Amino acid sequence: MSRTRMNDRLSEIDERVVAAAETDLDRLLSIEPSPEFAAKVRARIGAGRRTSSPWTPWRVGLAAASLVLALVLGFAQRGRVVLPEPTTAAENDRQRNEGHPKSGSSVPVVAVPSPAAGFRTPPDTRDKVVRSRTSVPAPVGEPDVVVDPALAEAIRRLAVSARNTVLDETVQHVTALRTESLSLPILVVEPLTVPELVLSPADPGARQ
Amino acid sequence: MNEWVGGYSGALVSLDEVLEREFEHRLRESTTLAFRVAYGVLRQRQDAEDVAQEAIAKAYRKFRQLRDRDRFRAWLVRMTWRLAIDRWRADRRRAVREQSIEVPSATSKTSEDAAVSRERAEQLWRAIDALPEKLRAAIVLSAIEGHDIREVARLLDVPEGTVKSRLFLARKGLAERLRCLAPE
Repeated sequence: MSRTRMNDRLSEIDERVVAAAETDLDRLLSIEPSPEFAAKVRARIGAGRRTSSPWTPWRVGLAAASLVLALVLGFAQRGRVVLPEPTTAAENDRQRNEGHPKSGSSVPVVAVPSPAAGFRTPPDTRDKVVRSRTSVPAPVGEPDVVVDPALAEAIRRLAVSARNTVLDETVQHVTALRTESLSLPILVVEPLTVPELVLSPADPGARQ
Repeated sequence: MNEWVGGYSGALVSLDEVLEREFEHRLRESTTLAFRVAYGVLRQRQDAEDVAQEAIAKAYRKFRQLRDRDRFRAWLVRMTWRLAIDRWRADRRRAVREQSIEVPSATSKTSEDAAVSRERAEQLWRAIDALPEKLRAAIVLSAIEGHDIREVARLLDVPEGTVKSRLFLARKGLAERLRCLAPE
């Protein structure tokens, strides 16, 4: 029975009603938890202990600060630009000549692929080229000039044939005669006749 | 009473060992109280156990922040009451929970007695649910473990005079709702 009764101002009937209600309430609330309740509470606390212990607030802050510091350092290393040392024009010419000792001039040499090799790269070598593109960058200042191998071969043959050709005078004379013997139509130039222009009075309907 | 000491003999990580032992000691005398407080709101054993577990786990997490450890019992009761009220309101809003009332079987001698007891319990809970929350807390806590006004005031952290007036108003409200059920 509860010890907090204060029914002084309630009627007698109300006192009986409230007393009966409090008796029922005392009985209803004297319930005991199930036998598994203690084990459940222990498990709940144990789970909270395991999950909460490695992530205390200061540890979370320390981990976050370390991550941010690592990211900043990583970006700083990556963003560092290595500038080439300044060189003079004479050194540039010397380096260029050392790079192409047989050319003897500053004109870039265009490497023409051989026609026998064809245009297509074999599949196995193509993969290797693609993978190695990132590791071996193309040299700066010497652009790749892609020339059709067949066209290059044709130009080479033309140049060789032109160089080896010796002009014959008789052939030149025959060519001149053939040009003279061509029958061209005779052109007759006639004077242009223009009719005389006659001025007439203004048309009344015409615009001024 | 539940035996807790053996279960906490493992390595202590999150709290100091002193704090851990103090928590175990205080929890031993408050676990059943937390369950009964939750049951006084929810009237479902399983729901009450779930809420009490949640409240105890929350108390464990925040035990370090509790400055006055002697107030652990009241602190846990208020925490349990708040969680239970939240659960009760959510259940009532969803309106999916059956309002079946558990009655201890030891008090039911026959099926007719059980039916009468169940009916009275349902009417009593309905009358208590109709009370304002503050009056409801006062009347329920006074009925648990025979708490007097001083203990109820300590649990609710209010003056004793406030508890007296709340208890009077709660009994008056119960009398108005249950008067028609009283035998002539």
